[in-house]
Amino acid sequence: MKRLVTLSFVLFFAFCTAVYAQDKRVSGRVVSSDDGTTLPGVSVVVKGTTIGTQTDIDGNFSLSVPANATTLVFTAVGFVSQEQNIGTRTVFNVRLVSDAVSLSEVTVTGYGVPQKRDIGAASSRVDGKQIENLPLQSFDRALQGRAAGVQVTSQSGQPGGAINVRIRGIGSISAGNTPLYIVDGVQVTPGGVSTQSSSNALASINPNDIESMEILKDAAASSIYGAAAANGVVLITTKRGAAGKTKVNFSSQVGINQNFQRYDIMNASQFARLKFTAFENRGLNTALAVAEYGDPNNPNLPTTDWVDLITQNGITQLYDLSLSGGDEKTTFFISGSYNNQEGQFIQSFFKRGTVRLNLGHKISEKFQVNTNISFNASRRFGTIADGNFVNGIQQAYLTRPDIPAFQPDGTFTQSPKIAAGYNIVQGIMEEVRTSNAIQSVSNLSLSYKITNNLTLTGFVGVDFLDNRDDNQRPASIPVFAGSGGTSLVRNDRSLDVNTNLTANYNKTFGTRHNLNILAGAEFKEQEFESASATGSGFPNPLFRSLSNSSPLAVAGFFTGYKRAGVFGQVKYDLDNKYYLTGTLRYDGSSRFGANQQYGLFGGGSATWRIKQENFLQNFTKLSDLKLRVSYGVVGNDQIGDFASRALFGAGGSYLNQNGIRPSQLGNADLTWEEAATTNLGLDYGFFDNRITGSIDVYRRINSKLLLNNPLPGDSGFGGISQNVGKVQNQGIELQINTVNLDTRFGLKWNTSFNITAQENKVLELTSGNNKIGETIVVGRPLDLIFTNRWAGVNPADGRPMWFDANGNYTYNLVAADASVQGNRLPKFFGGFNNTISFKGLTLDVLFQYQYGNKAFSVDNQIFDFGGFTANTNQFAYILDRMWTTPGQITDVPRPLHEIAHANNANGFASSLQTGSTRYLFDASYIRLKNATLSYSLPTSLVNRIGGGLRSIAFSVTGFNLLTFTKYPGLDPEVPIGFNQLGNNPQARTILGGIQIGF
Amino acid sequence: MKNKLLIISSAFLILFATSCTDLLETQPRQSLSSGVALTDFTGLAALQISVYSRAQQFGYYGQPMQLSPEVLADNYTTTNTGGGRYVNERNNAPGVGFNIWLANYAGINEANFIISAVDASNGTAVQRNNLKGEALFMRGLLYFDLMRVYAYFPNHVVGGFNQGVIMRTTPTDDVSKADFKARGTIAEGYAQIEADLTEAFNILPVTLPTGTVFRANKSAAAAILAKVYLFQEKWAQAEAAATNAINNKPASVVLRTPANYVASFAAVPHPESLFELDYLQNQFSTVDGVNNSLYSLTQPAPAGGFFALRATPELLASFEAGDVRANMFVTIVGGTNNGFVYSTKHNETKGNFFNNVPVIRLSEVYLIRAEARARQGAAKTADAQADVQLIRTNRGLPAPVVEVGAALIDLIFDERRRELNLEGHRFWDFKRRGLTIPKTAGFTPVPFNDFRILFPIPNAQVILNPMLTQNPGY
Repeated sequence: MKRLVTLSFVLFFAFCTAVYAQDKRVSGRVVSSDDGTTLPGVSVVVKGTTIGTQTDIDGNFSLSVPANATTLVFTAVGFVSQEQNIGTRTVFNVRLVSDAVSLSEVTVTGYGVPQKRDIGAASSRVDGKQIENLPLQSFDRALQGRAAGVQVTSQSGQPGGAINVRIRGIGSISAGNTPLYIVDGVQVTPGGVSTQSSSNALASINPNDIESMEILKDAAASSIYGAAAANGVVLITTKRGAAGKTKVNFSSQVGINQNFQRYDIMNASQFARLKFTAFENRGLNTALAVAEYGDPNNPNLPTTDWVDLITQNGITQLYDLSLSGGDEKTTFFISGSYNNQEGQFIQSFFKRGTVRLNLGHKISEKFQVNTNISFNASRRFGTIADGNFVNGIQQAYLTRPDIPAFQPDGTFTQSPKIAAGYNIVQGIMEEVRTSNAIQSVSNLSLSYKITNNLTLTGFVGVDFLDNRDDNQRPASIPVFAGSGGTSLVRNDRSLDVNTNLTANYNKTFGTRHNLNILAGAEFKEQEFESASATGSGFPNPLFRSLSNSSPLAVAGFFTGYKRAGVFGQVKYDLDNKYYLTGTLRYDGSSRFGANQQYGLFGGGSATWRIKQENFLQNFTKLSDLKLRVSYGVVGNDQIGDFASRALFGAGGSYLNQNGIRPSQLGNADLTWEEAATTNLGLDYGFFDNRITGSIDVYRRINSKLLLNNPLPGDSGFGGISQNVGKVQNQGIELQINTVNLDTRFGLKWNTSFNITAQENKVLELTSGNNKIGETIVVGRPLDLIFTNRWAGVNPADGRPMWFDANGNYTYNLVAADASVQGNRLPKFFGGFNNTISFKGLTLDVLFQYQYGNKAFSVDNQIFDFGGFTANTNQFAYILDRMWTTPGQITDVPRPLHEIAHANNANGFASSLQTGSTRYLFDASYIRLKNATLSYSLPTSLVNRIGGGLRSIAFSVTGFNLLTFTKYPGLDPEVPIGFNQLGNNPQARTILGGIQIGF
Repeated sequence: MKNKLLIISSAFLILFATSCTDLLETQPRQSLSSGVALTDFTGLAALQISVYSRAQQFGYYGQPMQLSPEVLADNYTTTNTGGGRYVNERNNAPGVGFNIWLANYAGINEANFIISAVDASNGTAVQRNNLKGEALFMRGLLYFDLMRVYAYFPNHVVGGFNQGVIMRTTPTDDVSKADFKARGTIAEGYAQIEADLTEAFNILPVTLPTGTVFRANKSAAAAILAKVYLFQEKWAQAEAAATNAINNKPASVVLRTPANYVASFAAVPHPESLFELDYLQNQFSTVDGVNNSLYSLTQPAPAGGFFALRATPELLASFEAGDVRANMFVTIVGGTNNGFVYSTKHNETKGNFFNNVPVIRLSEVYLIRAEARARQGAAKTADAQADVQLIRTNRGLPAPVVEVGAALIDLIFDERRRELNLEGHRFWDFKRRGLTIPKTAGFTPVPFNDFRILFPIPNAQVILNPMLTQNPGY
């Protein structure tokens, strides 16, 4: 690898001395034709070359162009690109016309230098402005509801917690489905490493630093990323400075996080009634129930609201400061932010500070250096749902309401009547579960213009994460008393380096033929290592350092992989009417088996801008029409780092000796999964682009799927990973953007709507098998739910009934009675965004929705158990709906204390709690995800204030404001593939903020 | 210019191609390749550690092997604080009690690796012999427990269902070896177990240089073999094996007396243990102690424990006056478990929440021999009486044993209940005789012809392997 880097530097300097023709300087200003406001960040490029710059925050630019340059091209997000003849002019004042269709043509940083996006690609874009000042701890949350084909679900309501992003469905069964995230060219590793808190590595980037996010959905667009591209690619570009006066932006927001999704559980009187009834029904002495749970006829038994005790209105504060500016040679963007979010549950928070420096410097007209340096430190406290001794949320709902949390003397109540003997309030208050992370996503690139047409760029990017977890379980909590308290310290370090060298050739032949060629080589290496130590036996709960303990356990873990590839891409267009793109990449990974270590990936696309044809020139109502077709084959390398090797790993210990055991069988043929995507797309614009949008139809076939080919367990192995399966995803994505109102007196109303319908089907599994387990079946979608069928309550005697395999009523289920009862994938999902503005006042409202998915709620399984267990609280509705009299039609069986309803025939019956469709629910929902009302002071007023003030705006933002759903669990945002079990639900967040610009 | 481009790209390609092979070189750091693990003696010895470790697990001797046979039958029942633990076992709900299929076969495969590779490894002759003996011993034990749980005993089969378990005696070192197999017969299963334990007995020393009763030894192999013969009602062989066990016991193993019997359960190792699983504190995380330890489940621990199982009135009524074993029990006064009685057999002398787990004790071997002798008729009655007498005398019951015939056999059974309760015997003692499983008052006994006498093979295995027959009724 070193050789590669060395070579690239040698090459740079070798060409430094070359001499070229005389240049001239041009400058100017770019404004919007809509309202005359200046446009920052507009790309200004000499046509057919890579020579270019961007406008500064006032829309100004200055550029040195070769003497023979003929045309300047002005390109900006959301505007029709414009060409201006240079001739002898040196000043260019340009008005750009807004154009939603051109969203697919923005410049993005794919490899090193800015280049024009392949307009034949199926891609979605989220602009940084859309997510500015939202309380998003990580940028991946911003994709929710805003991009067609992208499904985002939250795994935890913990601030800064983990989320799932799926681009165009689930293509892999056992390898990862996570997209490839690239931040300013750095391939970052998503996911969380903390064992103590739900965490998300992507929270290392301050969302306010983001200029744009580009989601590459089809294989033609993503194929340049080869073996890593099968799950789609998300390209994140952070803000850069522009020449001109230094701009300062400050924003501050303060608000609260609230718990708003709750279960209705019993108070002490209701619980006493339930237990009385459960004793009575079983023929037990009800006096014992009264003695234990209180008199059910007393409506005022003292009640402890455990959930109330563990929730809070968490204070949220966000502060953000950025400076951008520069001169002709150097531009910079500097930002710092501080984010302190207390969760909806006590003792949970997310704190983060970030700093960033994005610097660009022209060493000479030929030599340019860019660097993006970001650094952040974050601290999380994650007591509640993520690996506490017991799940905190569930425990609070479970604990008997008649037990006080505190004794009269203020100490925590200790009682065997509390489920698991664990006072959750004490547990949360006294156990420490923190994660402290330091992260940096940084890069350095050097580019050299060999000629005006050819640029060579060397790039190195680093994604570094250092995390320290602390878990302190003091002896003052009774369950930990036996060990004298324990303390775990765990250090994780992940270092991810990718480096590449690219050559970019850009040339216009004649006036009609535009050619762009990119060639490059890339190497990537990731290493992850962790070490942990646990001590126990502290002298008293005040001591928590390992040095005060006796050693209990140590552990270490290492993993890593390497990837290397070469790639080339050719783009050609004729008259801006016909576009062709072709990409090839030869990629290899250490994860793949020796027989299949390298593979060839690629794709191509063709685009026809029909509107440019003469026969459409007279259709003036049609402003744009573009047909795209693409096909490509890419890989999914998200398999285990050493999945192909036959290994003997650590296996138990005995008599203080550590054992080894065979951990997996080897498979030298193990390799990447392959995704072949065909995409057909149509971009349209009508009525001067008042209505714009796109329709994409796709089919993605993922083959060579890594499946654990199950082996008979008596062989000593559960299975072996083999590339055998095949899954098809097909779908349609529709995006419509409309300008509903655009009045002369300033009232404007924009709507953006997207909907994605997907169909997922398993095509092939391991040879000779048409199913794996019961939930993956050929011809059916992935993520099936396999459970028993609930038949309701027998009206005659209140016993729970199920259907057996033959559809007859049964009280006693056997394994063969369960069957497939739906799946967790939605039929369609999307988002709906409205922006209404009048003068400086803007209201932005985002809804997200999904329809047709089912979710299994384990919570309901536990909290609707009819008084079976002695010490667990239940849903309040049981008292209203439980079976009491023969002939009664209801869905809640007759409560029985601590015993299953007997089956008369042979004396035993299935427990009510047995998994069945009783706990399976439709999880469709529509959620008002986000509403922001903001007001910018008029420029005239701001100017009068003076002091260099440029703008002042005030805003109020609400998150998770309304939810429409029939789902009875805590939160319908259940990630695909998960059961709802004490999930940390989404919080409601209300923020007020101010944004000031100088 | 184009030439330069060509040169550069060619340079890249050459560079890339020449460094391809070592470019992606990455090695795991906490695992070994199979070649290293299997040829080096220390690798094989570490595999044997894994086999022992499997026996310790909370899904095996760490818990259900000790507790389920007691609560599935009439020795123990649930309390009010168990949080639902063992309630299904108490109710004899279908399919609960044991789930050892996968873990035992994983251990058997590891033992197979050792047995097949040890002779060619680089250890000394003594090392190779001893390790082989240990692997054979553990394979025999793992198979015996599979047979107990999933199959009938040879002389008491319901409906002619004579299937044993799948027999594998060679290691799965390649995916082609992981083929589908049908279950062997009951006879085949026991033949393999007898062969393994017999060879283990033949080649193991009285104690290994590296361990006492915490590892396999000659006497333990004979003791388990005696039990295997007893359960098959092969009385003469059972007697002979038991005698072998007694004659080859490590010098430290002696029967306890009335004076020190109760205290013996706090000793490490138990002075009567012929084979005992050793535990260390680091095998109990903070939550395992509370959730999974035998101590937490069977005694009202001071801090956070569950105390799920209490002695039944029937068990307590079985003790005669003067029996020191009755002193193992404590009655709770007050609280939600008022009046319940717990056994102090499983305690926490070794560390927080845990103690070692004896797998077979010398007193059991005497009771095995007593039963085997009593079953052989009048000729051996006196010998049988002497064995029972020895145990009873050492438990504070010196009166001479005068029972003969069926009465003597009944006495031995009651003696087993008093001596071995909470050590995982009660359910098997009825199953091996083809008798109804009795329950404490208020719960329905399980007739021997009930399908719940056998436990279900994991359903996923039956679905996967078309040659694998599920037990009847599941």
